Amino acid sequence: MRYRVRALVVSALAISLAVAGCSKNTGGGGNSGGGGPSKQAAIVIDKDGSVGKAPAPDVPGAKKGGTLYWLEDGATEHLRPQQAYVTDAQSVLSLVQRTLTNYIEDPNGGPLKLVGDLATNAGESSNDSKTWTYHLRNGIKFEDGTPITSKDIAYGISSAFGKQGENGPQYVQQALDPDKAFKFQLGSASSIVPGITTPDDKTIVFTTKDPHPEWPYLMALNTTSPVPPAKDTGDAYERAWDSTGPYMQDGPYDGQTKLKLKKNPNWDPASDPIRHQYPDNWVFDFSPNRNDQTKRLIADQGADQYAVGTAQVAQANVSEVQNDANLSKRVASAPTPFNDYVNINTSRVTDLKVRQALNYAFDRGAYITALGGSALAAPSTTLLAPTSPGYQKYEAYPGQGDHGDPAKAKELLAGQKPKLKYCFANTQTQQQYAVVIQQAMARADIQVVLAPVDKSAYYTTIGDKTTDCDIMRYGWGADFPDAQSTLNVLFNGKNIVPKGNQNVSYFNQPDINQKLDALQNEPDRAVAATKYGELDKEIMEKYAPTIPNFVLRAYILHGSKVGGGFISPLFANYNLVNLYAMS
Amino acid sequence: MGGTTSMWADGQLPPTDDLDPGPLKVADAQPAVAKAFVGRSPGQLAMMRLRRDRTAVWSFWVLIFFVAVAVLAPVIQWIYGYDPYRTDSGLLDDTGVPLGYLGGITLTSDNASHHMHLLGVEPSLGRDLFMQIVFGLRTSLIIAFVSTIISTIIGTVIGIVAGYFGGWVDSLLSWFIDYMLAFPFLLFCLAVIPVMNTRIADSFGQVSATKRIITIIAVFSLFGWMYTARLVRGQVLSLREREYVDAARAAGARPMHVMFRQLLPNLWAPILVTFSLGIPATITGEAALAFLNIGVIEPAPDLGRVIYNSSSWLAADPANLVIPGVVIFVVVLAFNLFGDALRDALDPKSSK
Repeated sequence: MRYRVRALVVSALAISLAVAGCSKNTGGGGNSGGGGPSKQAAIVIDKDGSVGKAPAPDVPGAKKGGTLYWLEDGATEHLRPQQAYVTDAQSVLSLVQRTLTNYIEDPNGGPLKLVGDLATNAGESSNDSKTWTYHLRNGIKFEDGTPITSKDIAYGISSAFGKQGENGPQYVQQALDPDKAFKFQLGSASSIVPGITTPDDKTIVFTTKDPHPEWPYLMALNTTSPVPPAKDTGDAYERAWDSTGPYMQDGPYDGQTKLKLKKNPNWDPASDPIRHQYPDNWVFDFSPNRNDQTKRLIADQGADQYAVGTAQVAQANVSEVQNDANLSKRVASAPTPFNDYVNINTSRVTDLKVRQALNYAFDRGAYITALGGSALAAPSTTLLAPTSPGYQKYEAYPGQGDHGDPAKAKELLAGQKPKLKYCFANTQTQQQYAVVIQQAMARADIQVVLAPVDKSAYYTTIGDKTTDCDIMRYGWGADFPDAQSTLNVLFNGKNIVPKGNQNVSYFNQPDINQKLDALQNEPDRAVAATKYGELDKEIMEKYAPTIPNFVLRAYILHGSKVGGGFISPLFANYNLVNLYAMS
Repeated sequence: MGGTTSMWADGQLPPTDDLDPGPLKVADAQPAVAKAFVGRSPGQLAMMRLRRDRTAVWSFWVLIFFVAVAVLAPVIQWIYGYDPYRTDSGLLDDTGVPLGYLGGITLTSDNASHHMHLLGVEPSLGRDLFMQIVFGLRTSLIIAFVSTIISTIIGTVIGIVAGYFGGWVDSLLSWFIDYMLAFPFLLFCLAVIPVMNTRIADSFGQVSATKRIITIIAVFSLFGWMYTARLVRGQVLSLREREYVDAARAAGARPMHVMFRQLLPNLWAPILVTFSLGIPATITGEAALAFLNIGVIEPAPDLGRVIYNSSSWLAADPANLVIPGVVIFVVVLAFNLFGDALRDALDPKSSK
């Protein structure tokens, strides 16, 4: 899954220059952001329905009523559940669409709980995890009062096999129909993918060819949101849909500027273990960019008191927020699953010594300073993000502090002076980060040539197996809290295809592929998690296919009248289902 | 048709010198006549007027200074002793704001880089701002000079051809000039530069920094010639009726000879003025491209980009915006003032 990052656009600034520049900056400012997240994420999977009890317990101090606002730079690309793959859309959908399973997020950073959402539990498996059965809860309805049946869910999932699921996650599609034989027919209730059966209106059964012990996670993706076949309008469903969650559309939505939601009267809290329905209305304002969000939320005037941001605090304002006690209270800071790498194309940089030297020469400290400091990112030396189950902290190529070890890199290169092409999306900020990489590598006599690629063509360019990029910027966020959705996606050589690769290290080592395959089929995910953690270290030490760079931290402001705010560990935005408006 | 009627339509004053010398000319000419009867060419007269104009003299020296800085950038780097590309996060605090006063201005070497920073350092990267400005000025001036020279040449040739031949050639070229003028320049840049870059990209979508600069020069050249062309055309319309042109034609001179040997030498004055006013326009235009992220890219230093990058730091580090802002302001102002003074000197009839 990809994190929503917009290029910073500078708007007219209301200025109070007078004092700001004339005082001495001694660098001793507050550092509330702190270092890297160290907490190892654990996860509870509710196999028997004992954890996910509906209704969800009340948030302490929560009040009903009022309107909350969400500020975002640009509208979400998709709101049809089967198309949602970017975190902003997934956050918005948490209010309007339910899925078979879903996560209960703990405001205090406790373990995630995967529970049944429309289903009564996280899933019952049989036949070596090849068959998964779900029973639906009572009282689940669409916004018009029609009960949700297993057939609506089966149709919703099937629609992800057609055009209406092209941009969404593909895990369920690959598992149920690995040969891509199924052709979906829009609006036809009988167009159900062969792996799904619905013995009755309350039961849905999935049968796959290969074992899928990770199935409960896949069912939490928006792919499993029900869609009534008779009302499926195809592309138009992006802007006018049938809600299943606590909120529904309030007036038409143009897909660009503003989305208004009101309470869904047919949502029954007694059927939902996750969501609340505190504010009367929600307004999603898709116009303010990162700078505007920061300024408006710092100013905290009028309706903005009831607003949550989506962008990290603008870089130039970070120290202001850190040093102001009141602002610090209104900023939510949390680790995210978004890991940034400088990937090494192992099909071009074949010399392990060079790849290791690149790892030694890299300067994480300078990169993070350029990015905005420790409040916005924490250095990362591992392939897995610290939020991933099984994460083990290690440093395969240690340097002095966070600034690398160019001397050691030179020693490894033994006189070689490699010249490498660095590809990145051509934005103002990425250009600056590229300079940091170039300078860091120059310390070890590694010449880095900057090759900016047009932003819209970036992933196509580096995803082409024949690309001539030697190193490239890549970011990854796990789709579900299992190391499989990072390591197997990014480092299994069997997944390499001619175009559209996610394994952009083009890393293909038979011993690693074999271990990844074995771990994928491991039924006990807790055991798998530990082994994934060990494999992470093994890949880095033995092959160095990438330079782990940093883990993004969410550092987002909210208005002074917003209650219950914390950052969703999955989507790196505010968790919306617990928010309430203070009167 | 064409010739005489469109001569007025172009906003040219009728040739009044024979009938009425005009107050300015009298005022200018009298003292010279009173002192001594020394014969002076129009060029010498213009030079004399220019030297008397204090604004012109000042702006001229400012220009010479900046051009010298740009040309001698490597020498300045050698004297200053600091690499313009060198980044240093040690000069910044955790969030990327320069340490110390006024965006990290320090005249001692008591800091992380062990070197002075005359104008401070850039936030985020910690590069030396002085070196960035010196080399950025070089990039900006190269782009401005090359593209203005090319556009002036294109404009002059089209203007002479249109004015000299008249008739359908003139109609066609005038229409083309109007057509080109109708393009909103920045919007067009936004559309065309990425497309051109995609065209010249190699098979993996990558465009080298040099190629990008060439693209920018090409776009500015292609869209900067119209005013010169219009002006030259107007001048030629009046000049071609002069006796010396008739004489040349009668002597059997070919159109090429008449246009570029007979007419062109009489057009230098207006061309020089449009040239000197075109340069500052190109400098600001090129700086604006940085704001659209279609200008010169890292790591090649560029004045416009330095300003763009610093604009988001306005509240935290205003010095970083003010310093390069003042530099580009002074350069552009000096070019404009000098261009104005040059016009006054070459064409004393025009009033300020």
